[in-house]
Amino acid sequence: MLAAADFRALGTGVRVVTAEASALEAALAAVHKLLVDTDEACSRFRDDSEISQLNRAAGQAVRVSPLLFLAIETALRVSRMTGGAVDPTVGTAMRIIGYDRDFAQLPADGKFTLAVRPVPGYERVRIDHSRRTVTLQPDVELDLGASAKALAADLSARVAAESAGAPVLVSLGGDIAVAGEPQDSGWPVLIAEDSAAALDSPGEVVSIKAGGLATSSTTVRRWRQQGIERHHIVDPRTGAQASVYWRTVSVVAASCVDANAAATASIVWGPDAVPWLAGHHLAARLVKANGEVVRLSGWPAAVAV
Amino acid sequence: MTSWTWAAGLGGIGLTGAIAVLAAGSFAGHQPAAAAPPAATADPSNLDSTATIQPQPAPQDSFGGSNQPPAAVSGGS
Repeated sequence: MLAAADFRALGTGVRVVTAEASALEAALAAVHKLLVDTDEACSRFRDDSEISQLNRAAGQAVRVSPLLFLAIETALRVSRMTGGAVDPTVGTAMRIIGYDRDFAQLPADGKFTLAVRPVPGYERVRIDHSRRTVTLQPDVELDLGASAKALAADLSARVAAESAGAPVLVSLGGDIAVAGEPQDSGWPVLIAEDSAAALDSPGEVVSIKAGGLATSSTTVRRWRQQGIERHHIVDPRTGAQASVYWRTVSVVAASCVDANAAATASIVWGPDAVPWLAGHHLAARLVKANGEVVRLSGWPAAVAV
Repeated sequence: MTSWTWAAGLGGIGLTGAIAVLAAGSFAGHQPAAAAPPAATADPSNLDSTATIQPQPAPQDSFGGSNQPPAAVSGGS
């Protein structure tokens, strides 16, 4: 029988589900520890985090923890994978469009500025595996938000399954990773625009047995700047928020990192996402701004609950 | 030095194992099969020759429809 617990971390909702009730406590402890470590290493909103210190040390080679190194290495891989559509050097752009603190603390209608520009680009981040150092060129500011949350989901699911000795599902703000021998029918997951939707909300339910499932949406985590509606997905080519061709994209992949990268890049790419997703055999569900749904690479037809 | 090598030196067995497994799966043994439409450009100094830069699809038969009550919600956040 499934057992689940919900809490908040990394500025978002966390849900941990185990296939056996007796495994939940150990799984929760493992996930909590991993998320604390991730927050200390990767949070742009904490002055004392490792990444904040790294951002303040642009131009210098900085030795970082294994976890932050992996997070940066993962972010760079995601950038290469997506041709720069998902880029960790969006830190300055995120501040300019007003997303400069934990989302819960953003003002309802903040100060407005038009000083957007293309992001510096992931090529300006140097990593040295042998020394485990990272060097940011001047004016580069990292924001690992797009990939670090997905990486934390992958890592915490694996750690929790190992600690608990049972299959585990971890959801970080709707980015889902599963680990351990799955149930026969897999983990049922509701697809929604908002990860905060109730489990009994109407919608499609899919089943995953391995890897990750991620959804990116421009309909949540929105705020206003002097009357202009903002969302949190930046197009690195312009430094401004991505235009909205797809309102929501969900992708299933071998890992939550890959699923999140593909979903976020698809928002940025608009219609060009379709051949890319299909070419990589990534099951995906894309919802146009007008509500039309496109299913790719074996994404199942809707099964209403 | 590959990612899993330094990961193996981490303290904490759980996290070590997780990073090692994840890094091995993510960074070893694959070569790009096809270029993405938006061409990737990268500083060669940042490229790991063993790294895959292609997204990996979910294992076959690991994904499908369901009529079971959901255990979690995937949505934007």
